[in-house]
Amino acid sequence: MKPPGPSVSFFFPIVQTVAPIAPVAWIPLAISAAGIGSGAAVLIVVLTIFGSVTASAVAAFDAVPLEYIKVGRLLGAERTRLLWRVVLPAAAPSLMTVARMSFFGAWMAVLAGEMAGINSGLGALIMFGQQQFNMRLVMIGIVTIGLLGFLVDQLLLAFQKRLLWWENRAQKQDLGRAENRF
Amino acid sequence: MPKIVFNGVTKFYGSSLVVGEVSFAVEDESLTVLVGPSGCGKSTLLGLTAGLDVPSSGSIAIGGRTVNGIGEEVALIFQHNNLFPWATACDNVAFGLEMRGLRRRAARSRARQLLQEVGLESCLEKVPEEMSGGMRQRVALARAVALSHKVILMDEPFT
Repeated sequence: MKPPGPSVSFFFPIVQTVAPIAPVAWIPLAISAAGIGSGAAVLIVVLTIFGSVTASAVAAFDAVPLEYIKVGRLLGAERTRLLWRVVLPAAAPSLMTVARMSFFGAWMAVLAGEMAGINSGLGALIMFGQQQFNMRLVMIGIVTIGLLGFLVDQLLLAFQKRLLWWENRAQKQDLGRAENRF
Repeated sequence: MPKIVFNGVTKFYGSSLVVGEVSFAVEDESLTVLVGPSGCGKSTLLGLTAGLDVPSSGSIAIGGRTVNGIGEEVALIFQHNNLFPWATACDNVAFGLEMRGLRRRAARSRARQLLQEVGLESCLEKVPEEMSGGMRQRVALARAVALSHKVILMDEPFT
């Protein structure tokens, strides 16, 4: 691979600096920038996952075996088609993992935001339950958060299986080999 | 017709010399084998011939044309990661044909013919992971010959 260009060299340290900042640290900034409400929640999610998503996506693209790119170029793929037909499919498994992990990060970030200042949503419901000494309300909030997270992850998993169809076939093949061995 | 001529080819990676002052010629319609210990620069030499890299000094010419980038006359088969795991055998072979402007249906039709020629008619829609190592190499071979390259370079393809 070519060494990173000047724009990557300039922006990547910023991304690496932003990535480890905890969601709660962004809450005051998000509320002062977007006010109390869903705007602030969206901003918190974006600020929280931007760094980690960017860093993970760059790592996923960097991990694409050089041979695939060489083969693609030798077979006549130009820049755009090389990206669409070779680099993206090669990076797709890692990118899907990034998407699923980022969802959990975003989900926790928005709930933290709702609990710590954005007075709406499930996080605020839990805080309201705490203030009212209403454990039933707190439990309803917690279970709903868990179920919604599970549901969205299942949807992402189903999408991943559909998108990465070749991996499912490879896994079946591996299972068949393992069964034959034992 | 291709006659490959290496003229004082030297390649440095940073300060380390990988290929030093290599000069030889490969005649047309001949089979040439490069033999040497690991790390002696065989793969580098093949990469330079395919135009994937440029020599630090010296030159390589194929059929009188100096190699200074990837050309249409050379196919290269690697030892590993030859095939795209996200594509079936048929789509792997059709890939290069599509990249050269053939429509998908025509490319797949030609790919099927080539896979039948290498005895893999039963594996057309299998992905590489579903095939044995030998089968994968035959698919790679079919893909290499699909474009009627004049030069086929093989980097330890049968190990």
